Amino acid sequence: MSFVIRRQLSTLIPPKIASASNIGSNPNAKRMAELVSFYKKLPTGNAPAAAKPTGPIGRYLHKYVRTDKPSGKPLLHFAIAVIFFGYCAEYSHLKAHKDHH
Amino acid sequence: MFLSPLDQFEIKPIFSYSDTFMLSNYSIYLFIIFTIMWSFKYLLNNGSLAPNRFSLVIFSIYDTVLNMVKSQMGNQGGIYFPLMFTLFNFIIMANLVSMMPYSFAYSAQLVAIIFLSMMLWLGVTITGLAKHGWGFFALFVPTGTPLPLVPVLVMIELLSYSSRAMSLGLRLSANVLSGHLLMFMLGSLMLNLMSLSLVGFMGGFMPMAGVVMITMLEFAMSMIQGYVFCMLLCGYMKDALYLH
Repeated sequence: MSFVIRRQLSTLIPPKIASASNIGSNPNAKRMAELVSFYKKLPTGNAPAAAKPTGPIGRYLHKYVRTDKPSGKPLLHFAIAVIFFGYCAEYSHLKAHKDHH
Repeated sequence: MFLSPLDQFEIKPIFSYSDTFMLSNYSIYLFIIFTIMWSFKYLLNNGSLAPNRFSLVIFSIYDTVLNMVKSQMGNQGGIYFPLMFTLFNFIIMANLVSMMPYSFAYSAQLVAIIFLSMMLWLGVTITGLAKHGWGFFALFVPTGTPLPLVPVLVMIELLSYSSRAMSLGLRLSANVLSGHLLMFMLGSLMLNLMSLSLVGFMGGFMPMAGVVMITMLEFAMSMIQGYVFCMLLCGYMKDALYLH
């Protein structure tokens, strides 16, 4: 019964968050010191520039896709490449047709 | 000599090595299509926090397919989303690559596309049989059919169900094939008319307008056919999963 009463009372009385003995006490100060040392160790200043890609695909992506303003040029390059390949592949066939004409 | 309009669909060897190794235009264009799909990985710009313009295009394709799958199969159809997304991209890329000059129309290859649709149909049927067992055959009896009509209707439904295997791929292939033939024939007509005389040159502008319009129509059709293919496959999948 006493347990039930205590449960009811505990909802009324706020938990002991702060007290005169806890403020400025040693464990709290230690935690703060750890926090300060953690932030002190972090690098300061501007963020270092991202490492430049070395491979051809990486450089191409860095120039046209992974930039602040990506352009539609890869689509144009792709279209030119496919048309060039198609023309080369069909060249002998088209030439034979032209010669017969 | 007359260059046949069907010449553009011919499978020709491009690289060959001592009769043992051969790369045809078919396999090379298939490789090109797969390369575009693989490039999505790079275009998504995963390294950055914000998506770029390429990512937004891919996201809109993703959203379109997701809406299609959800509207047809509900949330349970989510497991079929990767299949639909891959198919949708594959068909669209195959159609768009074929629109480039001197290119090869992969999706006009009836054998490849009908084989794909047959395999998909077979997969849908196996899924339905695995899920419902003998109950799957209830699909062939429409609800509320009078008993004497059941044998006839079952035959008709069975025929209709089986023909899906062919019609799914045939629809796509025939559309691409006819579109490319039309473009070729109108283009040839324009070229021949314009090279005849001054009057012919003036008259050649009419088929030129036709070529421009047909090309625009073909671009639209390239995308619509991919959508229709996936939409129908979703519908077939829904039938197999939920029966009626």
